[in-house]
Amino acid sequence: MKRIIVIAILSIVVLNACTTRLTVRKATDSTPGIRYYLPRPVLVAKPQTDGSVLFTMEYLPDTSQEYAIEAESYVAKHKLRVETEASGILKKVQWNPTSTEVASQLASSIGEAAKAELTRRDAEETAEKTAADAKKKTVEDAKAAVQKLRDELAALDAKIAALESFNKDATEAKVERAVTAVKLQIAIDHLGEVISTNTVGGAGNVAASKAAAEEKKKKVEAATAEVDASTSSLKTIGAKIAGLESLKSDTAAATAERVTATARLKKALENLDLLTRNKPAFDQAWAPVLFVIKEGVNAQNKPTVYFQAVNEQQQLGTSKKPEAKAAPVNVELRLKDGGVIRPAPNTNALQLIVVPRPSVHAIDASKVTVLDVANAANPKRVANAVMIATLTDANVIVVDLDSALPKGSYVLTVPFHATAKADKDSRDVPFVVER
Amino acid sequence: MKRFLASLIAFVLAGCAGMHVTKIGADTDFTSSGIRYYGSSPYIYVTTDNAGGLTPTLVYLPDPKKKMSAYLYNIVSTNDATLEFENGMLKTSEITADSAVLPKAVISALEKIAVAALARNEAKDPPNVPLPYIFKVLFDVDGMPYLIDKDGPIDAGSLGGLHATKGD
Repeated sequence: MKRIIVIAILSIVVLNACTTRLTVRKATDSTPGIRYYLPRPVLVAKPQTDGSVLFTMEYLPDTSQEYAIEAESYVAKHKLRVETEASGILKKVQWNPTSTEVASQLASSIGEAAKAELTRRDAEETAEKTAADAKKKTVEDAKAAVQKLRDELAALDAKIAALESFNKDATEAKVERAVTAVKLQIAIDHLGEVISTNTVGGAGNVAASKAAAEEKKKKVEAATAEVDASTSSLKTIGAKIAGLESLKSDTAAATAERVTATARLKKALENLDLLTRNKPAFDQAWAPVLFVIKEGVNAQNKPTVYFQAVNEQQQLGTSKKPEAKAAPVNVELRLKDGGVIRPAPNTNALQLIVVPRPSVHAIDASKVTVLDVANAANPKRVANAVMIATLTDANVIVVDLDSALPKGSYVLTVPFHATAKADKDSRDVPFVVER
Repeated sequence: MKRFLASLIAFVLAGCAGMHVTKIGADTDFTSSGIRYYGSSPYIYVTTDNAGGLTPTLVYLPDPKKKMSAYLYNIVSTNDATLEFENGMLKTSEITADSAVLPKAVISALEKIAVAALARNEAKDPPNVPLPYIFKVLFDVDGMPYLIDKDGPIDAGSLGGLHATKGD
């Protein structure tokens, strides 16, 4: 008997050691556990563009009320799942002390870790391939640029030769050739640089790269000077040509050119005005105001409650003038044939002509549907009943129905926008198919 | 004796899982170890209806004066517990009970009182757009609801009748 008593007591002691405990403490920086916050309701007043104010109750985390959840097990196992909102406000606590969950959780964790490692390796391989492709493309682009300039140079040589063979002035072409030749040299240098830095084993010579960069800088400066000189030369030539041709040409081309130039000047002046005028370029709109709830007691120790604004209302710049939403338009859809349609005698086609009053801006043709309402208690959508729906230029909605649509009662639903700025709306139009 | 021991073990095993919920204050917040959450209380906030009138809205908000602590424990037992919260408030019968305390007719009357009380205050110095105003619904010892605002409890009897939310 004594043995039984000892075993019983030991059992109780051992079993009592199998404890799982969920502890929630007021959080400090060093408190272990999953954090959550208690909510602080805030009334948000949002001024709308139409002059009204929209009020919404939002729940923000009260950072002064932060807690940490932690579970501990002694000779036992548990599963703790804590879900919070994005704001950190507590959403769900699931606590399942169990002996099997740890093993399955462990397996799951190993699986997740393996999956994460594979994903990481895939990402690394993809990144390496992308980088290699980019290097390859850079070299190819540089080669293509060199080839293009070589082709241009060859074309200019041919042009100069042709002009000179006919004793024509080739100055302009020669200037262009000089500029292109400089560009080609720069492109060749760039190609060399690109090849040395984008191929394996070619990136080591830093000093050479630096010298090449210096050389390139000098060439760019020389090329820029050459371009400026060429431009000036071209302008002189242009003036000379204009002077010579003015004797034999009419003023039509010059007039057209002046119109274009005037428009360009006007736009430039407008831009300049926008940049330099003192008043703000854009209108402003009122910002929201947040109200928190304050509770306390009055002088008679009676409870009180009130809203307290937490911010002064500001005006914010907008990208465009605030506009009120378009007033809703009450659109009515009418069937041209009084709601009863029959198949066309020759083609067997079934067509509905719907007339909107007033007119509509657009219809959502892909969302036009037909509902079978023969059984009023259980209406059913008819799949593929609408072949095509179109809003014509005359503002009439033409709906071609499946010619096999059986005899019966239906409802056509047409989604539309009454105006360009109006929200999407829809109307139901009952109709009957007779055969 | 065997029967006694079996009963003892059964007692120990059966009584070792559960949840204790207690209301806590600032003094016990640091020593309590349960899941903290706020109980809810009914409030009425009144805002402009953007058409010259006022709109009262009854909401159940987390009440800082009802901070609760739910302590879950488990000794030699299984205790599958799930607590779900909405906006930080426990979704339990507590909210339902509060709703039951305020039948529709009472809510309607309280909303009218709130609007009338606000109209009385705002008439003195009406702003361009009325600021939002909040009332809390409390219950007296007899379970009768009454409203409090920034000045304290509202004496509904002194209002001298109800005002419409919009003038004629």
